[in-house]
Amino acid sequence: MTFASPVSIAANTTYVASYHTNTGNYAVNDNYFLAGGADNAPLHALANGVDGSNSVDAYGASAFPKQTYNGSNYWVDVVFNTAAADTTPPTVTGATPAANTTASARRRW
Amino acid sequence: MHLHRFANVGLVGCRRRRAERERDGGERVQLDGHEQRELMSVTAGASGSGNGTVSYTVAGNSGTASRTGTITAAGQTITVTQAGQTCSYTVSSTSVSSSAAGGAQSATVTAAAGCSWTAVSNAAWISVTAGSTGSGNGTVSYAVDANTATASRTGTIAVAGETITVTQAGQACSYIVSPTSVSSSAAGGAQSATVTAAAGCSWTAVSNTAWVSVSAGSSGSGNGTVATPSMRTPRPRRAPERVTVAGQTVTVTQAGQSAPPPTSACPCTIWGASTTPANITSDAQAVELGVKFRSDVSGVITGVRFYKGTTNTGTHTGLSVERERHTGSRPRRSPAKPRRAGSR
Repeated sequence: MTFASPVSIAANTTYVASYHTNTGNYAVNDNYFLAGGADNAPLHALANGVDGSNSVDAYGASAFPKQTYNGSNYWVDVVFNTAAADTTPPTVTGATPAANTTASARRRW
Repeated sequence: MHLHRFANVGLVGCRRRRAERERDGGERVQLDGHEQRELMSVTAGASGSGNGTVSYTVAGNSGTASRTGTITAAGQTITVTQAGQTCSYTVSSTSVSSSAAGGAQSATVTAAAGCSWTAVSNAAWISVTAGSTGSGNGTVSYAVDANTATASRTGTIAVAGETITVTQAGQACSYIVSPTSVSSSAAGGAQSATVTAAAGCSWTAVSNTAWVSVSAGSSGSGNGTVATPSMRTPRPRRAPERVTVAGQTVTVTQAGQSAPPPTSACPCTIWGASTTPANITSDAQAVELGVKFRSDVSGVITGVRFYKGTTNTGTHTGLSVERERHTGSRPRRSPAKPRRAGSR
């Protein structure tokens, strides 16, 4: 799947790339990121612990995948190119949950 | 007047022998003395009548003790007391060198019989093990302790009025430097190494390269620390360089900046086309699945790939790339770009 317009990323900054499927039945290697990341310079899928847990998912409707499960690798990949980077920093447009509020998280067992 | 023709002579330390002989019509002549030689002999006037003179000779006394002999003349006893030799002593090896390890040494004392002597150490690290007293010829044995210091030292033993001077070497300096291999990040930074050496052992630390400098401990004595300040900022990958410390080499290896990716290799992906997942779940719930990643260099993400099993047949949307948020109440960063629906 390709973006209509490329998304700029900065060097050495953690990003999450994700997709949503409404039918599940996704590919997975459990524990994959517990043993280490995957490196194919300049890209690096982070091992668990480098910047929190890898294995990011979110059940339900499309949302930022903030759940984690056993360092699972869902085999999500990015297509990267070094073409002209957008150096405009991101801006904060909203925060969820808001500071000092309670949010619920679902855990998959 | 009767006169014994030979004197009675007594000697200390000699085996006595008495010899009696009959001379001159029953007059008795007595010799009581050393069997080897005659120490005192009457040379004239061995017999006489009326006034007369008895002449006698006293032999030399090679011993150190005084001695007494007698001559019997006309029933009277003449007592002759002879002084002994003055004692003189010769000590071998009055100037001795010892290794740092020390050990046994000895010296011989040459003296006349009867000349007594003593041997006394004046240094705590020299002990007389045998021959602390003696008479006549003898041997003084002594032990030199190990010298644990690096400086040499000198001690004396007084033997029979003479002085034995013992000069002992100090320990050779040895140096242990730790660590001898250091890794530095490309950013550089302070490092240090410790030097372990005996007191009095001096050393220096010299950098053999421009990008490593010694900030402290460029010279020292005994134990110490050598520090390097921040190394210079980012440079290309380097060969190991060295700091020489106390004869040892500390090898500093500094990483270079990460090599830029070969642009010809991009567009790039994390996983190759042949990668095969272990499982395809039978979990049919809708789900957002992601990967947390970084790039060494800035650039653009032009798309998201995922391994699509044959049963993963649904509509795939919600494709996004977002900057990772951190925990706590920090505000969530917005997506770098708005989410876009993909089509597949």
